This record gives sequence, structure tokens and C-alpha cells, in this order.
Amino acid sequence: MIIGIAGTAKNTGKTTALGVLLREAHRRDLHVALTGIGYDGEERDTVTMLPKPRLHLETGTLVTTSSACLRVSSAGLEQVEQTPFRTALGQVVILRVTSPGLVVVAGPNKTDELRVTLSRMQALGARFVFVDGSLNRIAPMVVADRLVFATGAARTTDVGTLVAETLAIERLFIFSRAVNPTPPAPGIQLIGEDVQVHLASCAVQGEKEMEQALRVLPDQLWRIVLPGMVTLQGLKTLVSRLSHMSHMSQDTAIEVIFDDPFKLLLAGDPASTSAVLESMLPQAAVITYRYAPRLVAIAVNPSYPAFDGTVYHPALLDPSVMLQRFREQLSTPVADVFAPGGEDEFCRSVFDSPSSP
Amino acid sequence: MTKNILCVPLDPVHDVGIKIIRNALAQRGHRTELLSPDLHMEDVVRLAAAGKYDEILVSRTLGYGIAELLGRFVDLLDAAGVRKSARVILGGKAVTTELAAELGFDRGFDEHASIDEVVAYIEGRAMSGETSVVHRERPDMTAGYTYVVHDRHVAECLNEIVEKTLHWAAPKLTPGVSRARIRKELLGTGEGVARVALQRDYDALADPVVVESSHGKLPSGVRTLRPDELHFLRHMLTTRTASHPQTIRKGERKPLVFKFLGSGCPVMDIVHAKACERWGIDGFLIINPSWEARYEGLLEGFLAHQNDGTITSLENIRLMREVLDPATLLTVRAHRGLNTPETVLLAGEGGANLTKIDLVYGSLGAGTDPERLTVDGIEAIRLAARYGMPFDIPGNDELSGVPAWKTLAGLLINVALGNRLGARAILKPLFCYGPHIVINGYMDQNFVDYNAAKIRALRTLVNAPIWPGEPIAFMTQTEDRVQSATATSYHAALASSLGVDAITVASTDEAYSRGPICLASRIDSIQAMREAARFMGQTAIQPSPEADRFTEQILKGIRDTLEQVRSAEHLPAAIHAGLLGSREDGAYPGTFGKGTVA
Amino acid sequence: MRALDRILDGLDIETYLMCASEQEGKDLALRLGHELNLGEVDIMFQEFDGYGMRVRLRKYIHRPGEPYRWLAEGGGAAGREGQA
Repeated sequence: MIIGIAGTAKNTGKTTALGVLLREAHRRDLHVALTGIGYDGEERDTVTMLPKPRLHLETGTLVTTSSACLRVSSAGLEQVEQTPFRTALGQVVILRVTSPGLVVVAGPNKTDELRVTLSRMQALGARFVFVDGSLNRIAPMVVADRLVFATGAARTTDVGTLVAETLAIERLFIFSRAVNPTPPAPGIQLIGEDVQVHLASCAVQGEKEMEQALRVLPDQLWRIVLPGMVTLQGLKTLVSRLSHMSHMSQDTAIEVIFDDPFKLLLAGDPASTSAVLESMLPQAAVITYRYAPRLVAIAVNPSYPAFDGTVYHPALLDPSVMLQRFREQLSTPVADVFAPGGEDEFCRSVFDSPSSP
Repeated sequence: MTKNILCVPLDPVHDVGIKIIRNALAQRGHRTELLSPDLHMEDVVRLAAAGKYDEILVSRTLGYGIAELLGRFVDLLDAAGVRKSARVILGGKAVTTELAAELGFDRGFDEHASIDEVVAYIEGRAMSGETSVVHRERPDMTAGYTYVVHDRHVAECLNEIVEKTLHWAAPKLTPGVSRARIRKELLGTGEGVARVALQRDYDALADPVVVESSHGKLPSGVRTLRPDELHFLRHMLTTRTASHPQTIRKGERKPLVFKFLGSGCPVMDIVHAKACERWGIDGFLIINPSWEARYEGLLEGFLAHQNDGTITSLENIRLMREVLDPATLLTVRAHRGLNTPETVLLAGEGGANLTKIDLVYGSLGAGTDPERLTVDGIEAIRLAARYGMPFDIPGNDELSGVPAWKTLAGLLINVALGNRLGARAILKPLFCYGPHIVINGYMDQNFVDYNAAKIRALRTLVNAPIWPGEPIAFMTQTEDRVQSATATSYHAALASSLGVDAITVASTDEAYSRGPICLASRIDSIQAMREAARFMGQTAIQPSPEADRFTEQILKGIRDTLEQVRSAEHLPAAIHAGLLGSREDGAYPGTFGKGTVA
Repeated sequence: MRALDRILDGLDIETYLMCASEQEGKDLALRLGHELNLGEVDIMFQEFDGYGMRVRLRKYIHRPGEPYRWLAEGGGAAGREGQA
């Protein structure tokens, strides 16, 4: 079981949330492993210079770090395996905690390398593997089975906007997994009476690419496969083309398959992307993913670093107001780990979530 | 292996750095492409995906909200599959390795990283960010100089002076000379009866203070360094190395830049020295306590002194030499007082590269009896020759009020003695605002002409290295930090323009006499000099025609002085007669060691 | 009135901190501000040389537009307070 913890921005409480989950895992006596897509556990935030929580790990936990970070970790560590992957901080190694303490977590920053590392950790016996996010980065989270989003005042202090954005993110995760998807190809695939593959640009599906691909459509088009990255403009083009088509006779909705929700998240700001997709008539198209983790929890953090133009100071929005407004709108469980009962709620939504939707 | 490299300037402000690196990579044969800075991120990703690059270089200055921007960029590259084949590198102000890792880059370079570092990383060569100064060779300031005295008249004068003086000194003996000889033997004798006897002979010629110290009772203000202090110092020096070493000069090899140390504590001196090495200093002089000159005999051991001046014991000198980079030069000064030969001996044994001897100033401005210092000084020069150590001759007489030409005449006498005894001398005229200069208004118009004239005069007369000090800008500095650093930098620029071989420079604490020099102040004057070198480059400061007039005046003065000195019986007699600096000038022959010449 | 209130605008600290890394140096520099009771300080200049770090720290006491504590007295002892 791979659990990813992503943040919408720096200082959204991702590390705190991860710490809560690690403690719960220890309570439940689960064999856990921890890796990351960046670098975490540093005492002072590298940008704001405010103190950051550090990760405390228990004996038996498997963790990745890089050679440069070994001497700053206080936990007793024994090296289990050296991976062939390098980051800016050096070679990534898999270690086992021999005595509890603080650890600086650093892991491979590329999706493929992360995948290999995770399978190694699972082969070494870990039942739950946590993937710690970094900043607002999400692309490698495609490897996760379950996903937690940490958001809060550090993203924006306007609660209304924050809730709206999180709702938009939630909506992007609602689409289901494609059943029997077409095998991937380097370009956009149009599946109808005959298959058409457009190799114009294999990696980025923008306005131009969409227009070119959708210029000549096969008869009885029933599926569009869009690999890789999509842009907001590309999505708009897709949507307008499809709604044009629905005026023509089309009995069933076309299935549009994206790689994963993260590609849509990266297309632009979530609110805009979600709005564009919603403008698509449900009769016209159905969105599915080749792969999608389940969004199991949203962790909200009302505290944030306030910038006065020179330095950062810690500040706080009203926690109960924030929590209430989130819960009013979202269907995903929302928790504030510092609110009464928040930790339990959060852990239950992550660990005890049903395996299939 | 040539690489496909995409250069992405993500800065709204024009970034020159990435262009420079791109050019360097292109010159090395890599296929490079530089994008314009106003592209949308998605377009950059599109181009990156289409081009099948090996490396993607991103330049961006950090700031509020920029981290998230860069994180998203890395994500987009990942989403587009670019990360499968390309490494992504981030360069810009305030970029740290930790930040690069946090953002998902393969490597980060800040504004201090050199082009070589970036290129080496891209080419997969092993070059870490922390290189120490191992590729420098130890310079020899005296190499290539003939020491020929060009002026026939001057040469004749010098010959006669040297002859008379050596003749006079030959049969003479002083406690200083004797002690140096005993010390040499002691260093080669192990424990036992012979050693005890030698030590007794030494003690008989030493002051009670020194004798007591060798029996454990150190003078007040002096203590032995504790083993743990030395241990921690050594440990620190093995775990820390210079980070991004700097050079002061802009590609030139001259002048070498020296700083003096002498906080009193070798540990403090060493920390200062190692840092200064990294900031670009080529060599150090150890300044010993002034009272050392007054006592017969030298102290032994790893000693710390709670006042100005670090004791130049053999152990301290060896320690200094050991921890300094092999290419860094070390000078031990021996020009004054009752221990000159022994100090040169210890300098040589301790591995120092240079020493400081001046028979004239040492007795005229630094308090030693002329007869005593002449005999001692000659022995010291012999020892310097034996150890292959060049010696510099500090023309500090000017500081008392002696006219420059008399001082420079004195320097030439020392050079001639060195020539005769086989030791290579280095002329050290001052670049100073000395009393005689002030009284006569020689520097009222500018500080350039008179200093230039000194150099020109010396060069007219002899082919020898020149090392202005100690320091340059002496007496021009105030306690103001900026003024002091600027004064140093201008004098350094002048020295460079004149093509001298080395300079000694002060910190911005130079004018402040109530406490030891702080490292920050040393660094500040180094920074100022580096900026001057950057500004001047290959260009030079141009003296005015007045400098020619001064040069003639100085040359005449030197010739007249030497003519007078040759008529004296010998050098000490000349000094007593005030020929190289009189009472009117403000110079008084010293008295330490008076009557000790046998 | 404290002497600190008579600082026109800013206070600079120029020094050299012993540290093993650039990060440690920055950390120390900021802590120094607190230890000196100045609170948050800006690191205007820092350069780590391998042995330690040369720093210039700045604390703004009076920023333009903020109330100037030195203004009430006319900036010196000419006012009532300065009679002694």
C-alpha cells in the first residue's frame, strides 16, 4: 500500500500530517517504509528560514535518504541497500532504523526511479510505504495507491478561494479508472471504426496538437486517448471540439482517457481546469484515467508564514471556521490534525479507507 | 561525449550567467540551444520534450513564490516524460544544494559556482564544489633576479662598506651568535649528558626570564597551548577545507599578497591564516612580541601570548608551516633585537620560507645596539643563506622621520651583504605617509608619485625583487572601515601598476591600536583589493612627471649617503654618526645589547 | 528613551562566524540577532569560505514612514530631556 502525501504549496503541513500517520502506523504495529520526492526533515525551512518539524522514526522503519544527509540524522541507521539513483544531495540509500530518532528524508526525484525504489522497499517487507511530497510537486505521486493532500493558509489566506481550489482538485480525482484502456502510444489516439494515432507531438497536448488531432475524426468515435502532459488551452480545444460533435449524431458518450489526475492538475490552476471539464456536456464525453490513486483525505493547516516584505513570521487563521467551510463543500474527509479528534479522524480516513471505491 | 543541452532562462531580468555557461559549453563542442526568456513554461516543456536533450539548464533567481514555480516546472518536465532522459540543473542566486533537491532538480549551483564546476558536472567529470588550493605552486620571488648593481659608483660604495664591515665583524662574537650555534647543536642532540651540558651553556648566555621558562616558569602573559586545543584545531582543519577559493589578482602572477599574523595565539593566527588563504592571500609574516627583542634567548614550546605578537618558537613555526597550504609562503621576522641569528635558525628549522633581516633599521629604529646587531645580522644572513631562505629588508626607518633616500641606502647595504654572503635579499621600501614626506609635502598632490619614485630609484640601481610593506598604505589609514580598505586597495593597484613582486597589506583594523585584529577586517581589505584588480585589469596607474623629479632626488640622496657611509670605519660607526638617519631625522641608535660584542 | 531609539534607521553587524556549512552559518546569523535582543535580522551579505562565514547583518530600527522615536526630541539633547 503506497500512500502519497502531497502539498499544494510549501508549509501546508505536509510533514506534520506525515508525522501523525507514522505515529499511527507505529501504534498499529505496521511495517512501514518512507521515501520522498525531494528533501525533508531539515531543521529550518530553506526559503523562509522558520523552524520546520522534523520526522521522528521508530525502530524497524525503512527509509531512504541521500549520502549527504546521513550525518545529520540522529536515529540509529543501518544501510540496507544502495540504489543506483542520484539526487542533488548524493546517492540515494535505503536504510533501516535501528534506534528511534530524527531522520532527514531524501528520495529519488524522478517517477521511474521512485517506482523502482518503492518496489524494493516493498520487497524488503514494508507493508505501508509513505511517499513524502515536496513543496507543491505532484507528478511522481502517480505511483501512489492512496493520496493525501495537505493544504491550508500557506497556499492562500483567502479561505473561500482555498476551499474552491481544493474542491476543484477533488473533482479531478472523482473520475474513475478506465476499464480496459487502449494500450498507450506515443501520440494522441482516436479510437473509432479505425484507430488513428497522431504523432505530431507525443509529449505535450496543447491547443495546436489537439486541433491537429481532432481535425479529421473517424466514424463512430468512441475513445480518445491523451498521453502525457496536457495544457489548459489544449483542454479547452478538446472540449469545444467535442461539444461541436455532440450536435452531430453520436449515440454514446466518448471516453476520454488521460494518464492520471496529476496530468490534469498540472494543466493549469485546478479551478480553471475543473471548470473547463465541467463545461463539457456529460452526454458528449466521459473522462477516465489510465491510472488514479484514491484521494482519501485532505489535511488542512490554518497556520502559515506571513511575509512582511523582509522576513517571515508564523501566523494563524481561525481553525474552526476553516474546517467548517471545507467540510461544507468537500466530500473527501477533511481533518485538522491539531483540532480535537483531528488526528484520529485523519488516521482513520487514511488507513481504514475501503480498498476500492 | 558531446551532449545536447537546453538552456532555459526563466528570469524576467536578463540573465548573463546562463549565456556565459552556454558559450563555454558550445566551445567545448556540445550542442547547445538557448531559449528566449519570455516563453511560457508549457512551450519550454514542449521544446524540451521534442529535442531529446541530455541536460536542461534553468536559470532563475530565488524569491517569494519562485520555489513553487520551479517545482511546477520540474513536474511538467516529468509529466511530459522529459525526466526519463534529461537531467535538470538549476542555477541562480541563493540556490543551495538542499533547495535544488527539494525542488526536484538533479543539481543546483549558486552565484559563486565557477563555470568550470558547471561544465565538469555536465561532462561527468569528478569535480566537487569544495576544492582546496592544491594546484598552486609555491612561488619564488627572487627567481630571475641577477642582483647586479647597475650604478658603478654605488657598486663601489657598497663593496667598500661591505668589505670594511665584514672585516670588522669577522673576529667578533656575541651571545646571540653563540646561542644560535648552541641551539643548532641542541636541535641535533638527543636526551643525555651532552644535551644537559649544551643547555647549561645556552642558559649561561640567556636572560633569567628565558632560563626560567625552560624550567617551567613562563613569563606573565605567556602560556603553553593545551593538547586538547591543538587536537581540536587539527581536527577542525582536517574536516574543513577551503570552499570556492578566491584569487585577488586577475590572472596575473604578481604581486603576491602577504598578511601579517601575530595575535599572540597560534590557534587564532591559524584560523585567520586558513581563512585568508581561501580569500586569496599568498603568504604570511609572523610578527613576534616586541619584548622578545629585549631578552637574550628564546622561549620554547607551543606558546600563546596574551598580547600583541605571536612567539616564534620552533614549535609554533612548525605548526604554522604544517597547517598552511604548501604553496603558501611563511616569513619569520628576525630584524631586531638580541636573537636575530637564533630566530633565523628556528625559521629555517621550522620550515619557514623567508625571513626578515635589517642591520640598519634594526638598530636605528628598533632599539638594538648597532655593533651588536651588525655582528648578529651578518650571522643571520649567513644562516639564511645556509637554509636557502631569502630575506626581506624592511625600510621602516622612514617611520621615525628618516628621509627615504637614507633608508633606501640602508636597504642596498643589506642587499650587498646578502650578495656577498650568498643570501638573496628582497627590498622592502615602504609605501607610507611617513614624517619626512609629510613635513616636506611630497605627497600633498597625490600618493602616487613619491611611491613610484622609490621603486624607480631602486630599479635604477639594482636588479632585485621588491616587496613594499609593511603594510602598504601605512599611516594613510584611519579607523574607518571603508577608508582603510580603500586606502589598501589603491596602494595595491599602484603596486601592481609598478610591477612589484609582492605586497604586505593590512586589515581595516590597522589604525586601531587597542585590540587584536579581527578576521572580518582582514577579509574586508582583501575584498577591496580584489575589486581594485578587477577594475584595473591590465591597465596601470600613471605617475605624473613629478615622479621623475622625485626619482632623481632620491637617487642623488642614495648616492650621497652611500658615499658618506663608505668613508666611515664600518657600518656601526656610520649608524652612530647618523649617516643613515640622524637625531635630527628622529633616528637614535639602539642600546639593547650594548657592550655585548666580544 | 533607549539608545536604540536614537538609531536613525538601521543597525549593521559585521562579523565572522565559525561554522561548518553555509546553512549552519545562516542559522547562526539569525540566532545571533535573537541573542542580541534584536529579534529578526536580515542577512545582507554572507559568504562561507569553508572555515566560517563572513556576514553583514542588518536590523531596521526605523523604516521610512514609521513613527520615528528620535523625532520627538528633535533627534538630540536639545530638547527638555537633554538639560542634564
